[in-house]
Amino acid sequence: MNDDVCRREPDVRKGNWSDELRAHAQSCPDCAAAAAVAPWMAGFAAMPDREHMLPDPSVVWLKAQLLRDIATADRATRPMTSLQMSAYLIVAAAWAAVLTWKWNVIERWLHRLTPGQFVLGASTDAASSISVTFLGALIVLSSLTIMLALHTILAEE
Amino acid sequence: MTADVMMLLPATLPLERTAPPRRAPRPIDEARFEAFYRANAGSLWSYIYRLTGNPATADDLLQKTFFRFIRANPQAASDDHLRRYLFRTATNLAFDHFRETKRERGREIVVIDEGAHESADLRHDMMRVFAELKPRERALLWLAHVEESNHEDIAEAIGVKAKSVKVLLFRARRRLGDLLKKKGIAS
Repeated sequence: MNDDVCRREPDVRKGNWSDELRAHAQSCPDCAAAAAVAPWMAGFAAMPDREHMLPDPSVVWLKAQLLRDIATADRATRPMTSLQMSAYLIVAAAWAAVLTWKWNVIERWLHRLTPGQFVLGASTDAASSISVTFLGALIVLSSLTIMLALHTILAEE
Repeated sequence: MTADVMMLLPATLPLERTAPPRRAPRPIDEARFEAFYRANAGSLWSYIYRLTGNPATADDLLQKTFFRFIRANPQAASDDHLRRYLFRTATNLAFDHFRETKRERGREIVVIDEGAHESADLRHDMMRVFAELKPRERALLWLAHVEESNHEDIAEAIGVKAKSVKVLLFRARRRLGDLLKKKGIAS
């Protein structure tokens, strides 16, 4: 089979038969194959399916505009979302670092916060064992966490 | 612009600098879209329906095709070009649909709830025969025989090389011919 498309094929598809075309179709494999299915395909194409109601063009247009607006809004808020995700990760990492850094002190402090120890006045000692730097770090991190949470809530609203 | 800067500029600027800047193409307007939709949606729906065998899927893919069409912002191209774009997009979406539904041959036999109408039975039989072909064969046959697309356009629509279309179309025809013979529809 060569690569050239037989120029008689459109006539065969359309059923413009002549004696010459019939003779040609017998010797041309492409035209013979086309001739074998062309009447069935014509009947299949003519099959009545137009009773089916197509979606209204104005509805399609409106939906397309809405989708485009949503896509635009998504694109516009993408940097902010990335920034927000980065902030969550940084704050979570900072909390993990601080807790790991001073875990022994925190554990001791929590242990001394039991009611019994509290009555004995041990909590005062425990509080005094926490360094100012650590306390400062806790306050800063807590503030950042609250700010981030507030920002998330307000942004969603 | 200050006088000093004006002094530095040559008396006549090259043509490309003086030419007005190219305007951004205007998006397609609703009136043109509606006209184009009315002219093409019917044949496109028929094509998608014959590919998928399911009217609801055809509706869905038709709308998705037109969503992409609007998003592509096709204001400058000719209607023929836009029509080719539509059929290419619809074919891609239909093939994606077959992949998503994991139906290797994309068979979705239509259940026509139209009682015992002779035309409904005939339609059902024809759809069943066509559904036995592979999606690509269905696309090839429909585009060649119904849309009367040339091999380059068919190649573009189904994503193959233009030279392959001749062989693929020959095989698709032979397969359909064999099916028709097997079912006693053709001699």
